[in-house]
Amino acid sequence: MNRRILIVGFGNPLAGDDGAGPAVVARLRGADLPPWARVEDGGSDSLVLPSLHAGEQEIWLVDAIAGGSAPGSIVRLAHDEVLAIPQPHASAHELSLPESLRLLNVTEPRLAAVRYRLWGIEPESVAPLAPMCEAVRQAVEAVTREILRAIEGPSCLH
Amino acid sequence: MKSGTRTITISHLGRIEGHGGVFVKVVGGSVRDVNLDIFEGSRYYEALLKGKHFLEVQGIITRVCAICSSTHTVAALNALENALDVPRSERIHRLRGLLVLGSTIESHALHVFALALPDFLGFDSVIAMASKYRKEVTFALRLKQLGNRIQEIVGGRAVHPVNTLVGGFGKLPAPADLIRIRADLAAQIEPLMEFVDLAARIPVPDWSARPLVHVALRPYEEGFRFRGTSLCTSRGEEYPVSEYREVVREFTVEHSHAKHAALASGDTYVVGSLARLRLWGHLLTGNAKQAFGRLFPEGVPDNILWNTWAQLVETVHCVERGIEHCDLLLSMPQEKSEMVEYSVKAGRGIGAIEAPRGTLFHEYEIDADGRVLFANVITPTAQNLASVERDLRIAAEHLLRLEVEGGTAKLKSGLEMVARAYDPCISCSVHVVRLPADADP
Repeated sequence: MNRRILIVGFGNPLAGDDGAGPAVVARLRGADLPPWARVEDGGSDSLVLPSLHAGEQEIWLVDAIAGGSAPGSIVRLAHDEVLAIPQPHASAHELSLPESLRLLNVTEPRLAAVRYRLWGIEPESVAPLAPMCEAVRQAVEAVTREILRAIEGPSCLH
Repeated sequence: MKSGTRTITISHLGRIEGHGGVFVKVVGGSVRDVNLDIFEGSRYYEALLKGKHFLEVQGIITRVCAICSSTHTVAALNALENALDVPRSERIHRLRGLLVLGSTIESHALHVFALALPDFLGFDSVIAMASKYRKEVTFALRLKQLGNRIQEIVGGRAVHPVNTLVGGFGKLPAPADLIRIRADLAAQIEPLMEFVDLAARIPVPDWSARPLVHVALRPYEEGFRFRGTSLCTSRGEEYPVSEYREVVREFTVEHSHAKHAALASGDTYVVGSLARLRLWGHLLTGNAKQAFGRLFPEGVPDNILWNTWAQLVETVHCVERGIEHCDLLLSMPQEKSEMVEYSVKAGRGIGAIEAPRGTLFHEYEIDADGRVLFANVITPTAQNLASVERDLRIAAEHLLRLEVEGGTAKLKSGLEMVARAYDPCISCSVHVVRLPADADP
């Protein structure tokens, strides 16, 4: 089977560093991607993934990630590490990204076979109207470059 | 348990560190304080919109929330079109209606099945619930996806629509897509009604029962609708939407980052599915009418914990109404786009809509160049906040009287269930993964 990758950036471009995911998506859309890689802006709803998925074997996620590191720090997590993050709810009416992935593993057989990778960027501020800080801007560029290299690299399925 | 002071904190209602949560202070076995503090993002968006051209409003406002993005979009467009005196064709009216139905199906499916139902069935999470109710959870997520797909076909994206514009739609759905949506909607009715039967057997606690004032828009025509032109209360009052700022009085409270709201009389009130059924449930038809009768045989009670079942009834309605919209749209002449011509002029307009969580108001004033001079957004969650606090107090007092087994943990989960019943939309405009060191306690 030919390799196919879906890259999804999550976050809100109007909420400061939470816009890191969509910013990476915007840069990738401007890049010359090979036909086996596709990019989508997932907005702020993790459970939209089944609607975006079109049979790709790999889904690469880019999101803001709060781990207490310096703003702009990049966290790279493999499939099992993403699914093991214990965060349950994201808010009173939304599941978190890891919880959503765990749930979709149970209810969506076509997604259960997917391998995930996550690039997380530590935010400084996710307040509405806050500007993206310089450290996160640089991280966005770095993650974009990494993803472009990884697309041409070996599959995470092996 | 009765002596001493303890504070019960539920911190993960909000997503932004330090901005959100329920705090209940219990002294000597009695509830002293109940505070709900949330971060309400829409206020910041009002500031962002000022000075922008009106054509930029839709792209900004749709990011207020992922789950409610389509209803915010439709409310904003209606307000702007009212300011500009832009007429709406039947097709635009129907397409926006379908978009709102898709958004409501998505939102209700998620809340009823994935967030509230585990509370009722005694599971810690939807994943735990899926181990026993896998078929139901899978059905719910597919139903949510159908809601997303409707928004994708009508709004151009599964979330945060881009195809809906002032004056119409950039691209109209292809008939084949509408036919597919119609078939998918029709396929939901039977499993939904099976779930109504299951829900009818699940007991609903009465911890938070108290007299409520319900508020919802009067439907614009004879039928159960999510759009209307006047605001009605369960006490029999009715006001034109143009007077909403006189009716809905917003006020600040010391302990909350968000404004609260009350009626001009000072009474708190509830908006949302329960209120809509209380006021207009008699207008339901078809399977939705049956579901209403099955789940609310003695009428709609003054107890917010029934809101989840009200959402379930509305989900049946949205599916059936969506089929009607598809049929009507398919009967219209095929076109690629539909845009009404209009001129830019100074004006002020209001858009009110019944969003999944309740009545949503958007108001804009624009100048002769089309710049936004004034923006006002009042969300359903903001209107419900004062009622949530009252219900939490009632529930805390009730649960303390019961001296529930499990102590604070049980009390906490009971209060969380009450807060969640409102399906509050709290700082949902960001998307942050939290690693364990940063996770809520």
